Amino acid sequence: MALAMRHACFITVGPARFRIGSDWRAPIDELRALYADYPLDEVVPDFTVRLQATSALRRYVRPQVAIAGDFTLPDALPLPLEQGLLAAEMAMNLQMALGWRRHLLLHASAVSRQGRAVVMTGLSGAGKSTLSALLAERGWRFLGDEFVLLDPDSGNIAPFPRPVSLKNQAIAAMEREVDDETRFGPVLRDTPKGTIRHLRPRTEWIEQMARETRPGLLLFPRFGFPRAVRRMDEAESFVRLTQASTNYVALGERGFDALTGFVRSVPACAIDYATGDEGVELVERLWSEQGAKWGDRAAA
Amino acid sequence: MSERAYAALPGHALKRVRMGGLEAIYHTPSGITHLLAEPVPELLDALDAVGTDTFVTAERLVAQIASRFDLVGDDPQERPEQVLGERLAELAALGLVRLRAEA
Repeated sequence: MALAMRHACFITVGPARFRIGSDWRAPIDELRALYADYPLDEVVPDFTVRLQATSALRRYVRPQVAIAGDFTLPDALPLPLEQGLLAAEMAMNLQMALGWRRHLLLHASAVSRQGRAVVMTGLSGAGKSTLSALLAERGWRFLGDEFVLLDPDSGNIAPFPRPVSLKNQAIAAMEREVDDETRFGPVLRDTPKGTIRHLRPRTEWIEQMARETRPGLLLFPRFGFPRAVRRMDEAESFVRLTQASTNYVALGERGFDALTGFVRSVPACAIDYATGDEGVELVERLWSEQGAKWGDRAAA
Repeated sequence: MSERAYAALPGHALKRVRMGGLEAIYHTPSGITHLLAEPVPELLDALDAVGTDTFVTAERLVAQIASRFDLVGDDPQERPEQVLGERLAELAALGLVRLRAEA
């Protein structure tokens, strides 16, 4: 049964269009503020996300939001109403991860420069999200911190520049980096992932989100370890990326073509770094080394 | 005793992409991806060369490829056709080659 929602908004991020409905006004107002720079026109959505009261009484007595939508997981736990914004973000992730078919989805962040993207993937908490946010404040174009969308036909990356979900100590680090307070969302404390605060990407990266870019470099970053760089071969990259993809199996042969094509087209490295600055410096250095090769090839 | 014979799948059933020393193989009928090391790609090539509708025993395949490969198992007492037969049986179990028991 399709439930009519009391409050709703439409959000377009990259190629994906969401309709988010809620039993309460607060999460929708927060979403509208956080996504103020994104197209909010009423469109036919790819996904509908519902934040609904876990029971009719609960809406008044002890507000909790349950995530529902086109796809649901049994362990999508109700969250307190103050975390409605987080619930909406998690629900949008869930819809993308389970339902998106137009691209191969990699759980990864990405930035680009001169039309070439650096794709950064790794386990949750490895630092890929914060590293992409840092780079995006230092001259790189921000393509996304959660999902990289790989076009199976062209091999290009479609930007999906959602607000960055900063966690715990990454919040203070980015507050030092960004001097525009209006780009931050509310501080969400005591969530299942600790303290969370969203950071809206620079407006220019949102305005350019329909422009695809070519992959240039694949990195597996790990924050909090002594500095190290290890070249990774194609087979290991391939295996790790099949694990980092949420829809590799669902895409079948198209997924295989997209992923093997991607892995063979870009060099890959695992990088360890102790501080954010060191991470940025490593990415810059690997980028320059690779850039020199692109230059050689272009000149040849 | 019946003897096992093997044949390559039709060309469209497998997509194979070389990745360094390994090969990523997409099995179209099942949608499963395999990542396999040598000598598997070479075995598939050898079966392909025989022809997709021609079933051959491990013994015959050894004769075909002996000139190009050193077929020695971990145990030097093992015969090459025995080693090859085991690999082929594994591939058949994965559905990557066809199996026929010959009388």
